[in-house]
Amino acid sequence: MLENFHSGLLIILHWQHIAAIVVGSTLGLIVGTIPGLTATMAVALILPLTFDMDFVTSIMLLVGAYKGGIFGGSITAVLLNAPGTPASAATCLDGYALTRQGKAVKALKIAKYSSCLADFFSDLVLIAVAAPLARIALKFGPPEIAMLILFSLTIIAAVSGRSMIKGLISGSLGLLLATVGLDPIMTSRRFTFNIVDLDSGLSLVPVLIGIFAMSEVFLQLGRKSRSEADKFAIIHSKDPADNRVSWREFKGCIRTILRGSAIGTGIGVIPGIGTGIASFMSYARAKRASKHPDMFGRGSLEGIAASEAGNSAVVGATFIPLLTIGIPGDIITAVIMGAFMMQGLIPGPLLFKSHAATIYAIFIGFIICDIVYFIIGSLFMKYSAHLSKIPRSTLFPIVFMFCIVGSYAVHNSIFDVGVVIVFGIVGYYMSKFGFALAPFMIAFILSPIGETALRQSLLMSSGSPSIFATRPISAVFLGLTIVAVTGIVRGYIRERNRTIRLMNGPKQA
Amino acid sequence: MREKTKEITISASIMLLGLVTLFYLIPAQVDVSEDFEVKSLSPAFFPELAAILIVLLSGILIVTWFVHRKDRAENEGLRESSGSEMTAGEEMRVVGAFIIAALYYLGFKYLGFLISTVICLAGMFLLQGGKRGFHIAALSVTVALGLFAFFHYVMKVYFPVGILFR
Repeated sequence: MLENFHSGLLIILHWQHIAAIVVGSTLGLIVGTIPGLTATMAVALILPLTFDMDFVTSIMLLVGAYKGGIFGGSITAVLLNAPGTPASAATCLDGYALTRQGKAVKALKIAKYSSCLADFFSDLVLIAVAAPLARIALKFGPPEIAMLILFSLTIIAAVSGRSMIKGLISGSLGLLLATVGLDPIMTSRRFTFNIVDLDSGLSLVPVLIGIFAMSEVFLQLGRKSRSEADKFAIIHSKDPADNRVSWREFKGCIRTILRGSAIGTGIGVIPGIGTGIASFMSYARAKRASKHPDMFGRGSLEGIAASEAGNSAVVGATFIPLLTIGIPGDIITAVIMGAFMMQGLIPGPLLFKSHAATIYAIFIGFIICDIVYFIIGSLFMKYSAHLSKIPRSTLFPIVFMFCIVGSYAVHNSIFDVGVVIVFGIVGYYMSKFGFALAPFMIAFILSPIGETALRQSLLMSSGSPSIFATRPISAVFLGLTIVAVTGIVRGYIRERNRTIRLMNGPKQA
Repeated sequence: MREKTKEITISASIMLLGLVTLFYLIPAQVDVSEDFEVKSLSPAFFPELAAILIVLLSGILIVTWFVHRKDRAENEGLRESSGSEMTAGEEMRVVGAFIIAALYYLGFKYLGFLISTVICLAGMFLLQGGKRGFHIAALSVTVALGLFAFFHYVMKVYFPVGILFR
């Protein structure tokens, strides 16, 4: 291993490879920052440019774009409540709350530290234990995925805001709207109203931008500046403590970052799950473990750290199944797999034997990539802070346009423009009437994967639900779900009784 | 009292939406062919589950209001939401933004990206209280052209040209 590592180091420390990492990370950051333009799009756009490059240069360019794209999404999530990529949706919850308190720089900094550390963690896991982890991931069939999704849905309780019932209604609405389109098993039409565009369902990106970003744009467009300070959408605090992350604050987040990194890595290893789920799972777990769970959603540094660590740790981990067993972990690694094949290399166990030094060069490139995008990200954040100098009356109409264009760009579809506007209106009224938006998005993202896995599992077992209890991994997730639901219900009843006692207390006295 | 009425109206509307989905939309809009395999669950299972949950939960929300009248715990979300702090004038501006967005959708389709974007941006700037005509026009045209150039030439995203340029 050490010999391969040394050979890999000699390969990667070539100016072309380092330049590829810098260019890839920069492009990824730019694309990721624009709402609607995902890291997938950044990688797909760069792919044709790699045709004439050597193998390592091309892979480094694509990996740089992937990592930069995922991190870039968090910048607008924090500053404008507009997640650049679906992976950053959970970052909006606390990032934008901190921005409204004048602590945007602090939020961006903790996002950057968490992203880079988590990315680094998952890269180390990739290097150290790629093969055994991939073997475990291979044991995940439909029953395991169905139970994992069921367990993940318990996150809704953690992000429901003050009213759990409203959060559950929001989640049920997400579940309902996720069923629009062709049913995944029998391809029956559901709620398509004979509109061809609805056959493939409601696209995730326009719905996400509509619910989170467009609803905020509508809210801000309606609001009139009541004071000079209110003239700008992003307020900067003059207190230096609000513009940096102190060692004490960072120390308070380390456990959350490590936990998020582990969750993200675990999720990334399982093919087809994705960054959005990892960030929400990490967020919910952090809230449950936090000493200040009430601060979540109101500008908690732990919340941002959890979300960013969760989504960034997925990146390195998605390469584990790709490089060890030849299965892409997500859409982006599927595109990168295309780059491997264009160069005449088939990802899989044989690659470690035939091109060991090259593979280790890529591994080291992953770590260099973390350092590079940390530096570029810092510069990028410095300039993105200039957004605060744009008056809200100018900024929000432009953000509106980015939301529209970003949604259109996903499928070049005018229908998606309508979707983003409709969901912007829905999101506006949901938050106006106290319905948390995060449960809606979680259910919307998770339930299609969950439905497919659940129904496939029942087909496998000829309709017997015992399949979920008889397979070990599935049974573990089922058990965890039961424990989580019991805990949530007990906590809810206890909190409710406490509130009622507090309400009645003064009168009885 | 006003808050209570508002809350019950919202919950009742959501319940109605759930009932309409359950008893009208699902039977009319979900194709359940007769030969589907029972063992793999019906295509209507998830929509029905979601609709039943919506009806039940909104019912609980209404009941909660009557059982614990003094308990405002469920309604703190209303006070918490930033939208509820808006004045009537601001509400009207939001509705104005909805109308501009809807008109932009139609314009996007028929007038093409550039013309509709310039008009929409100008409308949004005016809605935000912009008074300097030249400034609004220059900014609208610059942003529209900038977006077009970036997406068309760099990102290879091709926008509709509209009926005027066909």
